[in-house]
Amino acid sequence: MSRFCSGKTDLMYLWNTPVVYHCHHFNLFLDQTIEDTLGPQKSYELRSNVAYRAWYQLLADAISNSDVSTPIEKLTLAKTIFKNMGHGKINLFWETNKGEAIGEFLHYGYSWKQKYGEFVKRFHPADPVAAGFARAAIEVSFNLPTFSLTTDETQCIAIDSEQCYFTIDLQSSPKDEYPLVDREYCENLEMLYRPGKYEEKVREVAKALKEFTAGVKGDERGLVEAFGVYVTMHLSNYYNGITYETLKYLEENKPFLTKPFANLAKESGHVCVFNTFGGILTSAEWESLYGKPSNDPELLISYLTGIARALGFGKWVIKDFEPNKLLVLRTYINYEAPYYLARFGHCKEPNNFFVRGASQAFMVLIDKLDWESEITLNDELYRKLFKEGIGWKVEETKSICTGSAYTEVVVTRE
Amino acid sequence: MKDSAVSLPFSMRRYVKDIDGLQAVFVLTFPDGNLYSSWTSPHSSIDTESTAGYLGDLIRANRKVIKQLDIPENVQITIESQPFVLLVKEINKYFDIVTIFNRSVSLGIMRMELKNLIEQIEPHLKTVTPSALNEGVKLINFLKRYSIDTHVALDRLSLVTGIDVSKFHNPMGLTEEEIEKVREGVKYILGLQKLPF
Amino acid sequence: MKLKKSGGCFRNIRWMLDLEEETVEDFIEKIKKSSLFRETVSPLGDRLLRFKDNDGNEIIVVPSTGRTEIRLHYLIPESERKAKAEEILKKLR
Repeated sequence: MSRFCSGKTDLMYLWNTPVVYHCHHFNLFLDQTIEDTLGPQKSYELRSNVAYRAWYQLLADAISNSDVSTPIEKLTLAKTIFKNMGHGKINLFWETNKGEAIGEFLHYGYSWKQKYGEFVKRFHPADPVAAGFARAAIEVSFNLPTFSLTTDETQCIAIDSEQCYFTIDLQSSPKDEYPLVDREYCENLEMLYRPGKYEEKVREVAKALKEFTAGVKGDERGLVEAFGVYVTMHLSNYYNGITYETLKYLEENKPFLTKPFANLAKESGHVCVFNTFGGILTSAEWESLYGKPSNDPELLISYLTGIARALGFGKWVIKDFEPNKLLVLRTYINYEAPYYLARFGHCKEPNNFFVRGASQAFMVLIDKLDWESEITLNDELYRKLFKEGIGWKVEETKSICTGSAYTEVVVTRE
Repeated sequence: MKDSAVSLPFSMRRYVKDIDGLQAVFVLTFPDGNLYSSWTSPHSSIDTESTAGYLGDLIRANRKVIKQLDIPENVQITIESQPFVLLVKEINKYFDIVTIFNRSVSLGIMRMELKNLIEQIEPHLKTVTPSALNEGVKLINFLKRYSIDTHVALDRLSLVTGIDVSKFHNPMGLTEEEIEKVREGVKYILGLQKLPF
Repeated sequence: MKLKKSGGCFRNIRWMLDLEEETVEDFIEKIKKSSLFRETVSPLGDRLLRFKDNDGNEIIVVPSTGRTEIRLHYLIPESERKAKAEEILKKLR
């Protein structure tokens, strides 16, 4: 797979398609937020349609950059990409005008079961991302017209089936042809970059971690189990598509719900960074590179910012930092903004929700954990720490999406 | 002095101010196990909301055991531990009280103080039945007690129900139609097909 | 040598090994000589050593700090993981 990490923007691409690393906490929480807003059925439709478009972009890109030629070769390449990106294993079958897909260890359904299965009963399927992939893979491999297939996830392990099963039918699906962003678009956006505090350390960490993750890919199950989380390399156009299409819907129909939506979109960033970045810092891999972390807040904030760049989140910079008091984080480009700008142009209200939640988690990780003791990061700890609230508030004071040169978030104590 | 949460009907404070060694008092409804009123000492580390949640489970289990063993009703259960002693007693058909004392207080004094406390509270509770308790309060408390991500539970509820989140901070003001949506929303978020009340 | 649970979302799949009296150098030498584990390629070179048994269970060692972990194969059912970790510990003693 051809991964490109841009030194200019610290965004990441597979061939020309923007991608980013995210954990199952983020994936599940964000999908849940869309479900809460639109209801299970409408949200499944939106998520699978957005996923379809994002996967189609990637798979068409991949195939045009490879020497596969037959439908079976193309399908095999597609399935390999899906697996290597940590989305699980999927078998696809297509004959004339009907097909099916069988998923094993699909990232969303499987990790939902692992995280929530003991506590909550689920009544609707969890894998619209795989459903979208199945459509895209068949269309691209068999040269079918776009928007010519529909899928239905009739079995899902998150709702206690033995496997995830999808029917695929030759039937037109709704056409959404708004532009998706690609590498050329993202890399050519004007970027006014000024180095921030601890820049040397941030760059060093970003470089080391990018090198380490270059070889990371799905195991036999098609899952990437690392740092105590399930990691995916995922499609930025998917994340941004589901977030901003839902936000737009609320702005036009139920504006009083944009605030809880924004809060939950932010929380998906918070839960992600707390678990993933915390998992990285407590890992043997990190320890082998940098030793066990200490409670030095300046070192910690530079580590965290370096990790963000390494995972493809963009050019994140520490503008100001006062331990236990204040963080001002700037992103001269992030993976959220390009999509919004291409799709909707400028907006009135700042809306880089992931940056908000992530920066909150930075201060939480520094403030609430004792890095010189044994830290057990798990869901139990998360619930215990945040039962009464996060303890830090964040404000997005500037946003690329409103026309500013950068997105800036200010984190202070509540 | 830490008094109970928003929207609870009466203040416990005046009844407990002179009781030495008392760490907390909870008055809970039966059979829902919802918190009706509470008081926690400012010097105590007891977390009112989560303790109340689990005490609700305790009093429900307690009553079931009493019934199962055919024990005469209105018994008092004493749970001794370090550093606390809990006394659990039924006030009437619809309410139970749990007092938490420092272990240093003698058992005799604890029992006497509990008896006095019940005598003061009971007249107030005579006029209240659980059905009079606002359904909205019950639902919100239940959601907060059992949701996985408590700190964002109300945001989720707002999206799921389409109700402005500010209304959940004063659930007694919810309309019947809104309460019905909240009920469905709580079931959805907690993955339940029905609620235990 | 004794076991301690490690954190993360995967229940009981990672276990920290407390080497107690044994030095990490001695442990590395012992495991390299063992017929039960073979050294595998590590993307971090000799900063992080990896050893695998025939069932796919791994031992991870960070020589500079002495950190040692057992990482069980992901297909081991959750109910069997503790016993498996103890079995590996026994083999390592």
